[in-house]
Amino acid sequence: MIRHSDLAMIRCELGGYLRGTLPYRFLPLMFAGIFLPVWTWNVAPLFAAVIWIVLIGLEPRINNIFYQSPMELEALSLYPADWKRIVLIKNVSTMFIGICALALVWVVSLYFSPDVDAAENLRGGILYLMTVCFPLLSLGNESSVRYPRRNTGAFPGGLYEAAWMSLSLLSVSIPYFLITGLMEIPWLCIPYAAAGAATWYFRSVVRTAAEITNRRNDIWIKTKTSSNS
Amino acid sequence: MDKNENVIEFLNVRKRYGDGPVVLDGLSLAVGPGRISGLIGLNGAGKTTIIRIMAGLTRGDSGDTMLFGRRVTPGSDEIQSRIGYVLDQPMYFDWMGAEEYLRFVAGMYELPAPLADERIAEILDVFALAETRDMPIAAFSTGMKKKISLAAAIIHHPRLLVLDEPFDGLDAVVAHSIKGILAQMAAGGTTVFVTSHALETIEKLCDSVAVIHGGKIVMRCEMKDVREKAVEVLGSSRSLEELFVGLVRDAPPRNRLSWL
Repeated sequence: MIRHSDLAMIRCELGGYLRGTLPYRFLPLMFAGIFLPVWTWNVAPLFAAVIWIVLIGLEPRINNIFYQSPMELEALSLYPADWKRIVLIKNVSTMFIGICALALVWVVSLYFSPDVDAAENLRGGILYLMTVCFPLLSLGNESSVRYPRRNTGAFPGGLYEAAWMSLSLLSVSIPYFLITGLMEIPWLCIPYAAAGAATWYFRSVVRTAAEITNRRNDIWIKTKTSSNS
Repeated sequence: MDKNENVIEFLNVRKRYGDGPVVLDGLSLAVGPGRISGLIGLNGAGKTTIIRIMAGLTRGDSGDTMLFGRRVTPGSDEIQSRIGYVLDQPMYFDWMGAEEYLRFVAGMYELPAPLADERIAEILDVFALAETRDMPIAAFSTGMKKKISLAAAIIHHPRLLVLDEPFDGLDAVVAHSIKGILAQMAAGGTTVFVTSHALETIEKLCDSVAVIHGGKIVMRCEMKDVREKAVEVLGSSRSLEELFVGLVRDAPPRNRLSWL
């Protein structure tokens, strides 16, 4: 059942993202999305470039979920928070924002790549996204607890974040390449994605919530910017 | 919880930040229900640390902290539904407008929307924030930020209100309104715990006062007994300010400059 606190968190997540500076990251990334698929060497299919761009753009929302603003975790701790629901809402909000961003970036990139078979590309994109989405969220939750950052998405740290995200994406893409490239059984992506979703929901979300409940103080010490007596 | 049980209880709490000096040195303190209790101390005496331990934002190295008879431990988030905090360092989402923020806080405390609407309208009016209800908090003045923190701390009608320097930066009219609200809350059974540098405010507002110095509570008494306490400590009847200075000074006070 949806609670008042869930709605408050969803509004906060979506409103905070749209009114922050993070959506502007998509502007320079969009050029890469247009450039990569039409490059002579054709380094990536269109859907891979689009997904890469969106995930880089959303990096702070994936790898640093508790600090969309510098005091967010502390602020949330002052309320009777149900951390499992908060982690879940944050992850689902990221998925929602990601899907909106994907649609937008995909349409723009497709406009500049008229030779691409849109239907074929969409099919490949959906399978690829399903395969990488949940493992990335699980990795991101782990990273949010292990390496929290109060200030996120700023230059030049953003470049490091982008490189790290690219590495993460590359590692979680291996099963997709094995399934579709080596084994050539694309439908296997579906049970693989289901297993990823189950692991994310039953393990990652629960574990991240428990870590935040039990180890908040250690996380604050790690991310401390000022002290008071 | 028993009606007469202490709402706040610190038992032999010790706290040191890294290799720095000991901030709390076996501090013990108890605050009963339905009272306005003040805590005063020099800068760096440990007032903020006490409040941050209560809020779960830091923890003592040893000793116990109990709120409503329950130990403050990692995961004791349920207790927070009965407490409102105004901290020295503002903790809000400053991209939100005042009304939006209060609606967010009301939601986090599970207040139904009609009740939240009613309370938000009244609070914005009393705290003189109605005109700026849509302005982002980031654009607020220090006093306005303090007001919005206070408003958020009381919206769920907490049983314990913890205030760290609540009157800093507030204009006299709003400060007066807030004092009235705090007295009303205490009369209704809410325990109010205030730290402040403004000794005059503490003297007028609180039922009891404690002085923290050297990481310990060095004096605690009812406000009506301050003068008697001063006789006991200093040998003559004095104000709270003089009693405080007498208690915390480590060397004879200097109140003159050689070059003036």
